[in-house]
Amino acid sequence: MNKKTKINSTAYRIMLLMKNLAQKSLSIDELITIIENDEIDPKFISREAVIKYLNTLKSAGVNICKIKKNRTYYYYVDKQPQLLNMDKNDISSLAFTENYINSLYQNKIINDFAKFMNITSKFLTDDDLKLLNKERKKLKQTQTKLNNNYNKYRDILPKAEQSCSDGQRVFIKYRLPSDEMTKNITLEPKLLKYDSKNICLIGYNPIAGEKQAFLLDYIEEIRQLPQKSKYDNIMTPVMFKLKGRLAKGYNLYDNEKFVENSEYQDEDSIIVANYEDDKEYLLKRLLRYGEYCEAVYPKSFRNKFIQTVKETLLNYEKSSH
Amino acid sequence: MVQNQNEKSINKFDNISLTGFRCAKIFNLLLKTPCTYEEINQFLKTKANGLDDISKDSVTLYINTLRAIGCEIKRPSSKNNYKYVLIDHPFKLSLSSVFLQEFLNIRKHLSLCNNWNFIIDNDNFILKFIEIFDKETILRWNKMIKPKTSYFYTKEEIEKIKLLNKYCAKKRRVGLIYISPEKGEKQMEIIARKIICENNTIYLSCLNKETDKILHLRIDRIKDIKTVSIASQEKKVVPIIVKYKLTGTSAYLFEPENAEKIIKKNTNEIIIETKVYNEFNFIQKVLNYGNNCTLISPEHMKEQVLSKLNRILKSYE
Repeated sequence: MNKKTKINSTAYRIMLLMKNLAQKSLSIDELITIIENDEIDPKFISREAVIKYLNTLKSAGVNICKIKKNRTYYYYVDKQPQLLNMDKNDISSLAFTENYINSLYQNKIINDFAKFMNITSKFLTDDDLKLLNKERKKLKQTQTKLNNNYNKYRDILPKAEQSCSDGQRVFIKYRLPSDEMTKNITLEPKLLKYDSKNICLIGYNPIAGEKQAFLLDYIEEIRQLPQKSKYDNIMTPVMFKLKGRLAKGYNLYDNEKFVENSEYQDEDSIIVANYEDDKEYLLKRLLRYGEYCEAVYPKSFRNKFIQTVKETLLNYEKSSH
Repeated sequence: MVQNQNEKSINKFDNISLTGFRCAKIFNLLLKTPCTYEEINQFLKTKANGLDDISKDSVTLYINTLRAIGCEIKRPSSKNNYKYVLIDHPFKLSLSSVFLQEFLNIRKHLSLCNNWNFIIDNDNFILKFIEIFDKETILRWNKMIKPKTSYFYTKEEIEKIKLLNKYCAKKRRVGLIYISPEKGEKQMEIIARKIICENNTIYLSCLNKETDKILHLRIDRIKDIKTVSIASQEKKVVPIIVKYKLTGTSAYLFEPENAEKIIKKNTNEIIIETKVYNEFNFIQKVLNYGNNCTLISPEHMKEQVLSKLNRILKSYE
């Protein structure tokens, strides 16, 4: 904006207030400071002038609300000027998503989504908000299979989530149905990994010296230890080679990248580095790719892959006898 | 005495700034639609109860004032029918990279449910949500979204899925162009059956007219829908009855879905019988279980799995 371009100062200050109040709640003193320090048209104004400006905005249809905090009134724009163009399906979808997120029983994701809903509500019309509340009530009364996917974890999940965010080592008791005895494991928990039905706690086992995944179904106990996690940032990529049709049409997953000029690469192949924490999951995915995929690094993963294939073939041999 | 309507209206505007009022009103008007000077003038006379016409210079002053707070407004020209056009404004949504990442994580979780309706409804909403992002947020967002990620469907893909779903409901015969990774573009004639979601990806399950086999076509690889017609009497697709064994954690965690049923169960293993319409997909599923799964019958599919496993092993020699 050219400083010499003529503007209407009063109108400018009023729109400036609107712009700031759309972002957060502000007191009259804070609004005065904003105008005083403005780069384009700074000016000292009185409290009465600010009130007049707020009245102007209200008269123009801007929904200015006020709240009291510590004996001071704060003002904010309740509804943004440009609203979302939603239809009934969008609102239903939003309510359904909120319901689904709540069924994950993970406080961080629930809180993140609540933040998102808080922001979104400022961009919804009053009718849309009413419809949203109606859909929420309807969903509370109906339970769907989708919302019950992780019900069985509702007790252990908050503990497991806490263990990931605290940055402390934990002691877990783990027993698969096939195990005769419960295993005692020290773990530096990193994250919870969901698939469509189950949840794994993934972390670094400092005694085994590798990342491991534990199904929440079989964790009998989680207890925090006084030691801090030391191996937070271990990135252990697995590299695999893709050949033939897979090399042509492969879409990278979220935690993957192509590796250029790798020693493992040849003419018709590409190399992918994967930073997946759950190596077991990755191994099974790579099996699906058949002969078009070869695990190349690290050697331990490559050997484990070969071992898995051999064991699978052995299963077929045994079953035919 | 009946009050003059205009006087009554002016009284409503005590203790406000009329210029500020007009400026805010012009902004609201341009948000809805581009306007000529005459339209702005007429609007202000009716809504703002200005008794006189507003001059072009005054309108220019208000437009410049809006530009000063950060609005991008194109001036009237022959290219835009002599209208003021609001291109951008500072009341859009500004989100940090941290928040956008949290948002992406939420979307990732949604893809796990394998419910295609739910996924595309959400992506449709996200597309509308992006429309209110400010420029910096859009730049941050575009950096974070990798191209060709399976997590987001574009507007065109969402429309395509909805259209194909309609064809599925009516079992229409569809001529389409499909991009095969091996053979490139190819024309196919299919009977649309249903839309499915597996491994976070949406597919069209269909009967290939040429081979009489059930295929699962990735939606993002369907380049174009060329023809649609009513299918002649639908040939009933006979599923293959498959038996397979699961051991280890796969057995413990197994829950039957769709046509699956557990026909035998002991301490460490279960045997499942199911109906399979697409051999390739089922073999993928078997491989995904790793060494926890053994295909028992039919023999030809068992041979396919063995052959694949042997080819994998050979590639490591």
